[in-house]
Amino acid sequence: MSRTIASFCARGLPPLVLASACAELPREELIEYARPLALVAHVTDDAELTAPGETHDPTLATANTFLPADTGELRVLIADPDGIVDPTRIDQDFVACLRSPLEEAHSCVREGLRANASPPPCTEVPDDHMAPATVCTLEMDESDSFLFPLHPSLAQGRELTMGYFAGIDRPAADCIEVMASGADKLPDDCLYATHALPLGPPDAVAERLQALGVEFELPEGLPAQDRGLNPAVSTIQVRVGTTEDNATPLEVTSGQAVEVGPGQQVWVAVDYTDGSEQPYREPVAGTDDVTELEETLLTRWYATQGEFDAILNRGLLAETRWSPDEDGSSSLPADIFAIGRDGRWGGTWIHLRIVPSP
Amino acid sequence: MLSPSGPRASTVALPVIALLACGGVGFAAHARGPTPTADSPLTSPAGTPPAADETPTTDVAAVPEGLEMARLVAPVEVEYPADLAATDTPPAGTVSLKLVVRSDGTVAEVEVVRGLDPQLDGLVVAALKEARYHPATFEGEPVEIVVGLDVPIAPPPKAEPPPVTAPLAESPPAEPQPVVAGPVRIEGVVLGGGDRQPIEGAQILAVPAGDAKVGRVSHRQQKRSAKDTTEPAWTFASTSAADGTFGLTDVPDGKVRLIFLLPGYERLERVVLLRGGEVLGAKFYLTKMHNSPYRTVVHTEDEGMQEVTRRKLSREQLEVMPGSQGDALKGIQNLPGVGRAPFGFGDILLRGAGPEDSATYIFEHQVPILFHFFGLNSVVNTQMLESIDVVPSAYGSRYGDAIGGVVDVHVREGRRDGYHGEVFADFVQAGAMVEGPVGKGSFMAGARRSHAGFLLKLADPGFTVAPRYWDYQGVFDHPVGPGTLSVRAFGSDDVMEGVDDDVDEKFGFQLGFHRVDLQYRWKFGNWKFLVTPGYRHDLQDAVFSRNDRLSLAVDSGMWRTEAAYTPRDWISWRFGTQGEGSAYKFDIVTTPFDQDEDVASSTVRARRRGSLVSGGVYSDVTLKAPNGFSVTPGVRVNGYVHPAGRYVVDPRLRAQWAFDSGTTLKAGGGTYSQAAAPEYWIPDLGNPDIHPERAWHATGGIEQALPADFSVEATGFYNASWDVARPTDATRIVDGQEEPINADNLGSGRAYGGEFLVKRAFTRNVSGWVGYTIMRSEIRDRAGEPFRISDWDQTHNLIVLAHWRLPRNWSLGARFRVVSGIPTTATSDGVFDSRTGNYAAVLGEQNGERIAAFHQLDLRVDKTWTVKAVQIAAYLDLQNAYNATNTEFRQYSFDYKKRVAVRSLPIFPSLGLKVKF
Repeated sequence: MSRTIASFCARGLPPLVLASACAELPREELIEYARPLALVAHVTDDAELTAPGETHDPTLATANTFLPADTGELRVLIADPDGIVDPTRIDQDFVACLRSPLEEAHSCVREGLRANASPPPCTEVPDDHMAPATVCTLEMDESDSFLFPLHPSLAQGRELTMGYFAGIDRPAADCIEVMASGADKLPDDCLYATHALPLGPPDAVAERLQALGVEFELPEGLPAQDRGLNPAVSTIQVRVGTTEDNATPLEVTSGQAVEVGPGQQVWVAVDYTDGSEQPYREPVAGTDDVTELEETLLTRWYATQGEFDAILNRGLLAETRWSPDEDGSSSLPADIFAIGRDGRWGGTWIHLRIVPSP
Repeated sequence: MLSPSGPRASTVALPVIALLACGGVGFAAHARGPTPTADSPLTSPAGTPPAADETPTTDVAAVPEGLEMARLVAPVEVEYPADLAATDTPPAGTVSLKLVVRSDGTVAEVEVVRGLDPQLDGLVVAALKEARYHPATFEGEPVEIVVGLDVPIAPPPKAEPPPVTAPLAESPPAEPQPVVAGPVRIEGVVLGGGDRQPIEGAQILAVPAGDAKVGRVSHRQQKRSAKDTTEPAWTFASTSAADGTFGLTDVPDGKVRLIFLLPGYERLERVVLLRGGEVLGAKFYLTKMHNSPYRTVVHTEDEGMQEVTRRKLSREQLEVMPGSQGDALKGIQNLPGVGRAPFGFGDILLRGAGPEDSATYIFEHQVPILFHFFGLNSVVNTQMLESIDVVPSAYGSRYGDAIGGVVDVHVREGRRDGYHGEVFADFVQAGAMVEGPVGKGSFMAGARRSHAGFLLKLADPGFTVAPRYWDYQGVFDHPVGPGTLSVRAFGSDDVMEGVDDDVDEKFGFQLGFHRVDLQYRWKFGNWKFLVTPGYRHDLQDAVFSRNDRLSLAVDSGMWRTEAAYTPRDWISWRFGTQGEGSAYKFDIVTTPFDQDEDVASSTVRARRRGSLVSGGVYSDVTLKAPNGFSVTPGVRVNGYVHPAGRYVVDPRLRAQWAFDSGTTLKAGGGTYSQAAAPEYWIPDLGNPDIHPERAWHATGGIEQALPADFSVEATGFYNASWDVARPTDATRIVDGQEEPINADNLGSGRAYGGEFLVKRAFTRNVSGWVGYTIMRSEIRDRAGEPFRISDWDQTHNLIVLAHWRLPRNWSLGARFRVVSGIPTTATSDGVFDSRTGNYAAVLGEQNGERIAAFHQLDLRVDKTWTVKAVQIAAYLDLQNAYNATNTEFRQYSFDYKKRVAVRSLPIFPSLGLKVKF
């Protein structure tokens, strides 16, 4: 048992030691070049939650666990120092793969592409080809909607892993080609992210497959589950002033411009709707037990300039203070982003444009 | 012709405590020297009459049994200079000298105590430096010793050409100074400065002090008065008895200069005032010199069987090693075969094995925690240690549960020569310890607490991480029945708390243990027995982040029982059992290997209670042939009893052949096993079916003792491991569900290389070593895969370490190291993970690169002052003296597109102060 203590002791200490060196590195919350900040998928044909064809409303919860043959929509937030990148400059592709439980998402995508540089559309892949490291392309229509592929084997894996490739002013296919060629580093104008579309709940998956006439046996031991939801923002409150006491409170919506005068700072508070932290269940490996868990919302703050007091919040209320760079409002406009994630592929975001007051 | 006499007066009042403290110290296995003669050392060789005008300055009454004095191999002759002989009054008289006869018979530290003429003095000194002695021996082993010499000098007759005086040789031992009858005017006690032990054999002279000030006479004043060749009007002398007492009779009233003389101690002079009818009583403290003859090292064999490579470091040696801030366990990194730990941490890396693969024993049992935070200091006060043995691989059957090497830390017993203690402080910690006799036994108790966090907060109020630790040690030994009962209690507690500004959340960490051991050792005829049960409570609470926390408590019972039988000189047999049973409970919330810790939904929570039982039964036999060959076959049966239920038999063999020429050949090997680290077998996180990890070791080497306490050593080794636990992404189907296995036993490794050591024993005024290790350490996850460099590979490791003892209790140490850079895995890019918002690294070939080589010079200066009963010791440890910019790690930006070098400590002075009584 002597090694038990020593082993645990080793955990966690090195990061503290290394923290001092981080000051020399770029700050994560500062957007200095084009990069993805979030990918959020939701089911668009779920009549219970969202009427078909309805545009996404961040104040409404949306389902993010899919059933075979669902249609969904993927939203991607890409920002650069000028704010949100114009979507017309971006060409994007999704490469899907089915990975084994401990395989890294990137490894699944990379190895799959190296094995097959021109993956077929996911809807055309025969069921028995959806083995680990088998890739296919998830085809999007113009509104970034997609059809969740119908593959019974997906039910074994509980999620469909995806590689997101985007080219800024260049075809995404170029970026895929680079990765398929075996390179570990993509060009700077190629953006690459991994995302997953969770499948479930298990009983609904079985019901859907049976309804579609597909033979499927539900694995034993999967706990009953509610459908996973994306978190939703209830209110965004902004206060602008030189001190917290004299700041004027404003209720704003995502995308709205906020005027800031010289020497002023911005306090931002994001309230999520009740239920954004969902309870869920996990089977305990090797036993019949089920662990009852609850999501924890994690909000990360980003900006194109300035500084935050806190760059990470947990829970249904996320708040921080943003201060512009030392040259103050002269450097405005700036953009602030808050990305909320529930840790089970559910997410949402807000965006505020900070402009100088007239 | 001049000729010095032989050692006129031995100075070897070796107190028993000195022998105990020095036992086993130094490089015992390598020390060899001339075979001592059986001649009586304290009588003059025939035909060499003592000098008639010899004035004894020391007493021989205290020569311990077993000591044989050094003897001149041949008379040394010096010609009387013709120019001096031609003068009207050519100098005549005696040159009194003091010199050190080393254990190899050479002469060092020749010092003129009382000169006659500068030219003559110089000639005598030069001649003596070339002299050769049969060295003194103690119980048959050569030892270093100080002797005093009086060289009578007479000019040649005027009419005749020089040279001439009859050869003079060793003089008989002087008789103790008789105490002159009459009224006692001054009576006192001579004690050792700092340790307050009575000093026997010190000569006390009383002479008129003139108008000198009452009080201590400074060294400068002593030198000035030494130039005054006027004979004093009167002189009274005495010699201190065994209890340090002395008396001076008939001394007239007035100011009296008292002069205390004893080789190995600084000369002490005090001026006292005697008034009519008064009897002056006082205590006088003599300060021991660094280059004292009492530093004599008695070379002894260990009680245990010899290891193929066992490097022993004494506490005295470890205390003054540069770069280790006086911490013994950090000092072992200076040995060949021991890797450098980054940032000056205390990780023990033996012959390419990771720290988790080597075992550290303190007082017969393993310790789970060896160092406080960041390896700042070990958890045991260095002052309480006797020595440390480092066996980097191929260790004997007495140890187990390690596929690397073994470090065995020996705790000493408390002193029985009075009550002693010390308080100490440096930049990191402060503490105190006391020791002394209890009945027929002894005790030792100490405690330390860190203040680094407090100082950091003082320097920067915004500092949000406040580490602190404390530890304690208690030692008690007492004879009971036919043996000795010992109790050892020690423990430590480390706490670090801080606030993560990014999320405005506290994080914290607490790690500690408390341990109590009992031990009973006794002898019965040719048998020796040992029984030592122990109990340890370990605790750990940690909150690294909201989703990564741990609470762990372990209660362990340990034992070792051992019987050793030595029926004849040529055979000895040992049998023992050793083991540990633990009951643990833990509550862990953490993330699986491939997931990010910030996301709650990905965490795994495991709460368990359980127990572990493991142990070993061992035996070995040592057979010694008259020609110096010995062999020790042994076997250890390791039982990983619960929950694994697995048993492993590990046979081991060691052999050595020692030749009269000072050459020793050694070889050994065997198989070794250890339980896998807990993260590999804990249910949910690891794989409960993991079985013990295995290894075999082979090593061989040659040692050669050289004159002047030099020795050289070359060792080769090859270690291979298999059944090594590794994480895996493999899965298995359980009840139709695909489940991760988490870990398997398919890993293997190998380490091979050579070690070279040239050293000079620490008993010298100039000592140290040059150690070089060349090695390769490799691992692989699966059989059939190519081996890759392990994290612990340090291809080249060169250490030059030197220590100088200087006059006036100064000493200087230096350490220079050049070590291959740490292997690292290149990271070329990052992948944005939309579930967490973090980036995952795109890794290149694992450990496919190496950070630039490490090089550093550390310096250390020690100085000790003695003020009556108190010794004050201070040190300045200057790490990285030329401010080398060494890279320890690479730190990457959040998206792995940029990186910076994390440097080791810049030039860093550390000042320490210690007050001993």
